[in-house]
Amino acid sequence: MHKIMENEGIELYKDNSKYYLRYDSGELMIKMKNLEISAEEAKNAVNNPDSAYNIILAYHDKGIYGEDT
Amino acid sequence: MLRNGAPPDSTVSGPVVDSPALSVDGKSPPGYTEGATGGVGDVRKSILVPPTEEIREKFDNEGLTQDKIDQIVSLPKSQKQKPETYLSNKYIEGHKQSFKDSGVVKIMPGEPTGTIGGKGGTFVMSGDQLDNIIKSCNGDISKIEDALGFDGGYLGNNPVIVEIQKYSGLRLPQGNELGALPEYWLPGGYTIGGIKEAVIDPAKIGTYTFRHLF
Repeated sequence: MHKIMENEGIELYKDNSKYYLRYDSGELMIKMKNLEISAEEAKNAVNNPDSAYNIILAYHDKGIYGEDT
Repeated sequence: MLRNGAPPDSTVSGPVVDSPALSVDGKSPPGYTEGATGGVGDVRKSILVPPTEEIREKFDNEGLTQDKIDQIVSLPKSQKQKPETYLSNKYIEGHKQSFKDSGVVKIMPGEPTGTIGGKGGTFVMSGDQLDNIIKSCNGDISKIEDALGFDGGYLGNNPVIVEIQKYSGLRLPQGNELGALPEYWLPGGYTIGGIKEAVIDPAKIGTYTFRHLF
């Protein structure tokens, strides 16, 4: 995986042609997850790093949390 | 095994019921009971409920009834209401006071190396509650993990206790934090394992100190 950017505890990675946001999904414990996002969303996250948080929330609203790292 | 704060399988949307027997309210120091169902792994049953009768009473007194809890929990994360909209100022300030009085802490498997937490804030415990749990567990890490609802082995052999002295944004969790997952997050400032929790802004280097448990 290649790290593209990091902003406020959220990291954007690219692995082959897939993009992932890595974030701490734990409550009191640290529980890092990789959430696959689209290339368009990755582009938005690069252009506006603050948007990464909302991208993750939007996936959470759909019941998608990503995979444990 | 799914434990406190551990994300659920995305395919499972099971609310939670009959939760744990650990009494960890601020007024009644938490204790570890062998075999108590303090973790989250065994509580994903049907609906999210207050973890103890004492906490339920506190919630009821605030009008945070089961119906209200269900309503709040059912909202998408992006639409979660601020606690100020359904809890009294007295409750909120009282909840925060125990953190102000006894410290804002986290327990982690290793030494922090940078900013703790990210956008949306980081969950914290109150110092007295963590101290009480450690004492009641006689320093047994596996019991501490169990009492806190952590994955077994998560804390390693010598956990680190981080105290954040210069915190900002101390608040009750709103439920829109990245670590507040719908199947586990309960409004009112307690985990479903009964641990009193709060959220602070990310803690930068220089705002916290840490020490190993042993």
